[in-house]
Amino acid sequence: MTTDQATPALDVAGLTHTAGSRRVLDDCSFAVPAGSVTALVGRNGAGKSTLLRTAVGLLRPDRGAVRVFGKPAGDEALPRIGYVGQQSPLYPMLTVAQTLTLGGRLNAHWDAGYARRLTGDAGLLPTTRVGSLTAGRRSRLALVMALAKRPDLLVLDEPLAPLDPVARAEVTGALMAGVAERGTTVMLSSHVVADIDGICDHVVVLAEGRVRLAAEVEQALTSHLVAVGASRALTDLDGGKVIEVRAAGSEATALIRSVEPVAATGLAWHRPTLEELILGYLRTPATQPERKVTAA
Amino acid sequence: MNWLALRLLRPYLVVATVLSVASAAFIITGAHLIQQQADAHGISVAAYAPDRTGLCEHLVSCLPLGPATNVAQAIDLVAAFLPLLIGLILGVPLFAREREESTDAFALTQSVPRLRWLFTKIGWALAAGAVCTAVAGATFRLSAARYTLLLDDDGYALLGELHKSNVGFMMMTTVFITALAGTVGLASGRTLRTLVVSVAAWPVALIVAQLGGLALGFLVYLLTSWSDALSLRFGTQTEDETATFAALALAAGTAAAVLIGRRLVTRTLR
Repeated sequence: MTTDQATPALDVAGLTHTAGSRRVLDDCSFAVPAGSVTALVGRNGAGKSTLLRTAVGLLRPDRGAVRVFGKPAGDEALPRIGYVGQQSPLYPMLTVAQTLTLGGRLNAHWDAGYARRLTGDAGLLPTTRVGSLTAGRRSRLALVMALAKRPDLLVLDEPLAPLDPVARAEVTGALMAGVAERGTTVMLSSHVVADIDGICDHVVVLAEGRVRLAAEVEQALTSHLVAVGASRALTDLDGGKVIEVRAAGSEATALIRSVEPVAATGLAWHRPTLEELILGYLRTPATQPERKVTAA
Repeated sequence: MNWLALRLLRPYLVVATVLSVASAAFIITGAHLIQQQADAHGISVAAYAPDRTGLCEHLVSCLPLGPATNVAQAIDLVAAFLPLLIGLILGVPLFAREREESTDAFALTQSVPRLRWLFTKIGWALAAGAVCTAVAGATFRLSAARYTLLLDDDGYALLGELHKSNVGFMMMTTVFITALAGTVGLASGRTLRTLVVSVAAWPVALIVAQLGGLALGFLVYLLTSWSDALSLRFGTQTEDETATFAALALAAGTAAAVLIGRRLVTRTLR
């Protein structure tokens, strides 16, 4: 299958979903460029899983649309999507070999040789029952199932959560190798910033069901600055955008959307790390009005 | 998808098959025992069946007391509850368990249309339920129904309404319960909740089927009123014909349940 680089792999427009009386997703819009590795970051309950389930067609949103490579999410888009849900749901009564056979039966583009190689690399024995695998190994198998489908878009819902540090490194390596081999677009969710640092080139920050930031990582880091100094100096800032201010005694740290330091005395400026950037957006209540600061 | 549907259904299919075969064996053995007891007491069952005519009077069991009556009662119970049981065994876990364990997220994100997942799974379950009940139902009808008709007890007379000594009605009861439990499981995603709702719905469904059957019979009678021969034929229906109309009402209920399931899949999924 060919991937048109101009068409977004995933185009989310005005997505709104309500569960009971709670609005889980609120007018979410962003696009995932083809060939990118995009991290969807948010706190527990932010709506990450709901958004990803909607993207792969497992949920029908109340409002809004999701398009996968230009086509509406649903049956038509399924052959191009590899999905690993939270807890890596697989049939526990099947063996690893039966699970792979099932993948072959249900997917026209199934790459059996690749699946065998990946299971071998992961140390998964064909005769082992899925139900007896540890959470980490089941996660590896679920990833194999998604990769061997040879998808153009890989959607992973907290794939690293059940893994120990060594397994995390192995899975990340396997994932990135698979992605690099075919230029697969990846959208993965996490609430651990360290998991995505260094592997994603785009980031979407979701808080209270709303998209707080959707940008290319490098661009986002370049267009933000962290100011450290006296609380008084920070409160005097006006113009531009103060994303978040955290005070500790008389000192305070602020994340500001600005390319250059703002004219203010007694402040030290530095480029934020990905963690500082994401945490700044996550800690800010979605309803808080943005304050302006003037660029120097 | 067929392989997956059958593999997931396998344990329940084994239980339903064992239940069906065991019930059939029990019915055959029981019928043999009843006949032996009747012969020993010089009772000719054929003289009383199927409508307790002859010497078989109200409040007097036509069957010899003791093992013969007990076994006939047990067979009646089997015939009454087996269709429900098989329907529950096959229908309750069909979608409820998949949703409970979230494995539906795996099946529904492979490269096959979602409706195929629904129809393949429910199709195999309905077919398996119909065959399992048909085996036990046909055995009951052919070898033991004539004995249970002679049981003189209001309770057992009521039990008779649950199976109507009719294979088609028993099959359709199983098929309906399987479809209903499947749809409830699809909607609720909880096994226990599905079980409770399905069991609670069973007597209601039978009453509705009874009324629906009567309405269908009356409708056919009206539609054939232009012909004296046909209206006479449908104006005086036998018990089997009444049971067949009730089975048709259950078939309509099954179709409705499957359509609701289809709607659930297409409305909640893309």
